[in-house]
Amino acid sequence: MKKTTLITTVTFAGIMLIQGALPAFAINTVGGQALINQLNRETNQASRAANRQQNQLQNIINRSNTLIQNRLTSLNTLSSRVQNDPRLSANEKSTLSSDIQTYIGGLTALKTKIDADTDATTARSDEKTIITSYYIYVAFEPKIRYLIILNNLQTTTANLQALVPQLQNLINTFKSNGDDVTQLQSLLSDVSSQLQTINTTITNDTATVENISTTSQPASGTFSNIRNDITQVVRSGFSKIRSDFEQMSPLFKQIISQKQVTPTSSQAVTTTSPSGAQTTPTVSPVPTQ
Amino acid sequence: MEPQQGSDQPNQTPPPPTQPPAAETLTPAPDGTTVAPPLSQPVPAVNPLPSTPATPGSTPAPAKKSKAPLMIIIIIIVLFIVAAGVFLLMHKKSTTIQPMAAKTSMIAKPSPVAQTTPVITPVTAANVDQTLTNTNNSVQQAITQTNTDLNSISSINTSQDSTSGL
Repeated sequence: MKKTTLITTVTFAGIMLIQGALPAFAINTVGGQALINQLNRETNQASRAANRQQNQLQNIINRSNTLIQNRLTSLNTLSSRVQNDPRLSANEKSTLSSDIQTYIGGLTALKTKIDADTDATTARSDEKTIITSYYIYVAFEPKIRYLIILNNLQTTTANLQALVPQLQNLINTFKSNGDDVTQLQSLLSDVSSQLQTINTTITNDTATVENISTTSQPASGTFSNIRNDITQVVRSGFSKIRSDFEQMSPLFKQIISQKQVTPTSSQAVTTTSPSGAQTTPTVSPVPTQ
Repeated sequence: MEPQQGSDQPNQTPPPPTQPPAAETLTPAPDGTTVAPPLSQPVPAVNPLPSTPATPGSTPAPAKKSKAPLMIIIIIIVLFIVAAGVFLLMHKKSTTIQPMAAKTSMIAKPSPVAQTTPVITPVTAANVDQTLTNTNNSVQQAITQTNTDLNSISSINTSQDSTSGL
């Protein structure tokens, strides 16, 4: 009986042991493999996400570098345009060049920052500032180019304005000699009037352009108005002035040639001395024959 | 304490009338030097300190004392001249360097120059025709340049400043 009891106990214990060990075997069979597979999947997924983010960051950096490089090229071209302009004064060149250099410096610093960005969100935000903090193509470059145009036109206007009193003196001289200067005077008055209109337009437009902010998109039509002023008022004004000068030239020639003809009726020759603006006709007696 | 008394009493009591003056009692020595005769009474001790005022019989002592300040003054003058020379030399060098520095600063940022007013040659009957022709050409050049610049502005691709897609 005791032997039977012992065998029964041993058998029971053995069954219990086997039952207890079964889950451990199960891990290495069906459920365990699934767990490992899931873990591997998640690891791969995380790795792919990190790679994707890294690629995204690199793409933003590359795109930003292209955007900045394009702008730097445009700004350097603009700087050369300013430096090589024959009409701009040294002061104007200095001011415009200084503005351009400020932008070049700002964009170069921004490039350094973006290159050092470590996450895509910051890089993307910085990338946007390449546009929104500078507006090179919408505002800055047109602004500088319009200022160059206006400064050049201002210089031409100033030269013409300095010429007007000189011509007026000559006309006055002819008038005091009894010559008919009505047409000349009318043409010169038109030149003065055109210059006044041009000067006012240029002064107002220069102030408008200088006030254009380059950190925001300029109001619609701002540059169009300036362009219209230049093409319709200034350019047409200069064309009229050129036309006036072309008409004045033969009139001057006519008066001058009349003075050089020796009059047969009188015993004196009147010659005009070309020594200065305040020319006074000198009368030289003809030798008696 | 004797020397102090001597220094405190610069005008010593002259010797008694019986004592002849020292200069008169000098007797020529055989080698040509003068020897003072022995004094009948002891002469009061004269203080040899520099602060002692000169006494009629001690003329060489003050001459030796005045040499030291003179030397100091001479040394100071010499040092001053040397220092002035060095200063002038350095100043000369710095003035030669200055134009280079000025040049560098000019390259970095050109200094603004006041805009000069246009100088127009006086228009006379002799040059009025040429002046008008030149002016017309100049105006035409300005218009041509303006047209070129306006075309440059037209060719600016403003869509590059669009933030869409970023």
